[in-house]
Amino acid sequence: MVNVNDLNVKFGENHVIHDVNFDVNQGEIIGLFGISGAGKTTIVRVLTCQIEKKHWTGNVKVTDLSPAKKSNHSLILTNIGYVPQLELLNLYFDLSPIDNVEVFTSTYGKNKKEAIKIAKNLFKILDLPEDTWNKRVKHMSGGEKKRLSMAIGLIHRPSVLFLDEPTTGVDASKRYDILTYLKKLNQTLNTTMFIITHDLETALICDKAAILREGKLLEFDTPQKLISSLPSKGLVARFTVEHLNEKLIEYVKKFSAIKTLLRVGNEEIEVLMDDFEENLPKLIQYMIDNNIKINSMSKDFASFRRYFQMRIQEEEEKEKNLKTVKVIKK
Amino acid sequence: MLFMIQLKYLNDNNLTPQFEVQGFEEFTIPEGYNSSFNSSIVMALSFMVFGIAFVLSILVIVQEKPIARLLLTPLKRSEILISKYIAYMLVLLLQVALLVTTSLSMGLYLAGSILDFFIALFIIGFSGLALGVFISSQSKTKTQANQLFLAFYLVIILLSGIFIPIENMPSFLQFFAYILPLSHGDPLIRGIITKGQHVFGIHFFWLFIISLILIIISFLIFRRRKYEV
Repeated sequence: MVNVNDLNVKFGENHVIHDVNFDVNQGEIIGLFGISGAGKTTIVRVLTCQIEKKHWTGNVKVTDLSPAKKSNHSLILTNIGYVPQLELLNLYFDLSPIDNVEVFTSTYGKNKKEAIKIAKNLFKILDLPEDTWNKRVKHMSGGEKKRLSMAIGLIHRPSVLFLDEPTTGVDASKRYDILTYLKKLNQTLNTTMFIITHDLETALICDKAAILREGKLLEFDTPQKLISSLPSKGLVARFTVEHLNEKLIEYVKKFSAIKTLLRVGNEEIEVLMDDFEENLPKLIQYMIDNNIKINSMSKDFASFRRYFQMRIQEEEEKEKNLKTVKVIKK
Repeated sequence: MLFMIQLKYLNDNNLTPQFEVQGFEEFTIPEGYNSSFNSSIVMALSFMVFGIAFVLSILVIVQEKPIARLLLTPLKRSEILISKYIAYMLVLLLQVALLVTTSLSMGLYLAGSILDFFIALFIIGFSGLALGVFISSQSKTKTQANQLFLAFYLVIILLSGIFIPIENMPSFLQFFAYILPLSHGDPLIRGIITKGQHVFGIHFFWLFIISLILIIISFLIFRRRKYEV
């Protein structure tokens, strides 16, 4: 459905994307994760024909068509849908949802009556109240606008849908609703989805997660597989430690079996170890011996958020070490 | 009267006049028409219709945020711009129709034909529309477009020949005046209302050429305009 091989993007001297490779099948939800400036949007912009060919190299195919050829652009754009981060870029606020559907349908040259039928069906899936369908968009709530925006992206039945930060700006309780709706749409319409996001909770609905850092694709796999690639298959011990400070953390880190230690709260740390079951009692003993007061302790599997943090931290450390080696060589 | 007495005196004494007599057609408004309205509206009509079209189209590109999203559909950039022209030309047609009917009903005396008058107003408005879209397509923000609108409109009115005859301006200003649309719009309307001229003449031609050039530049600028979603 979407194939990316050796994708490199350069804007003059600025090398933005380095050798990115991945393949996506029909009906998968792909989460593109990364901190700001990681290159998530740039990859999507290549896939949606927004970056001129002179800026990128590689073999890219979207719905079996290459965006490198200008003649393919209009076909690719017919096959894909796009939901921007800001609704004001996607919707005419002075028109009603149905009028918005008509405007966007006309751009695809499709039958309006049929499109309105499809749109009404989408509105029902997305639980848009029927009384808002003919009211102006500007009177709708934030969540409704977001859902309408998604529906507009799907009115022409695209095979691939790109969503830019669908959960940003939505309050925490509604965030899960948006994700549920996306999954629902994906299951009903079998649409492949690309979700660019900072929100790591999105991994809950993703079939595959792509982790990007500084234009490099670090990982591309199912979130479960990624988590189980951690030491001891992702088993994590969480400690609440009294008067936790950097010194104490350094102390705990000295325990040899610890692979990664993350401070996750004011008084909380999470620890990943080799041979978890065997080493956990030893670690607790070690902490008690060193007068570190443990208030509580729990055992769980790492969340995708933890995996992401650890993976990025690992990469940063690698980079630091490389820099030190270079300095020493000089 | 004095002239007639002088002429009679010359004729009676068999004297040849030492001056040349040139006759001129005096423009008089027939009875039943509003003469004070007639003299003032001739001046106002051209910059009214031009200003309306200009102010309407000034934000057409710069204000419309979903254009960025429209470009992610198979729609071409040129199609977006063409749709804007068509929509605003329809609005302009309505406005011109309104202007023609109101001015005629208020007692405007037309020496020329109504159709000529209609076409003349339309082409003047169209040049305003072309200039508005041009400014809109090259402005980055609404503020910039609004300020450019004021700057252009003031210069265009001042150099239009409505207040200061173009022939009395310095030659470099005359050059500028003639490449601005209203300097052709005003004589065009004046010619039709007071002299009964036809619309298709040199002024129509220049208005058309100016609009065409502005439209072509707008297309070129809009093609290169950066949009990001």
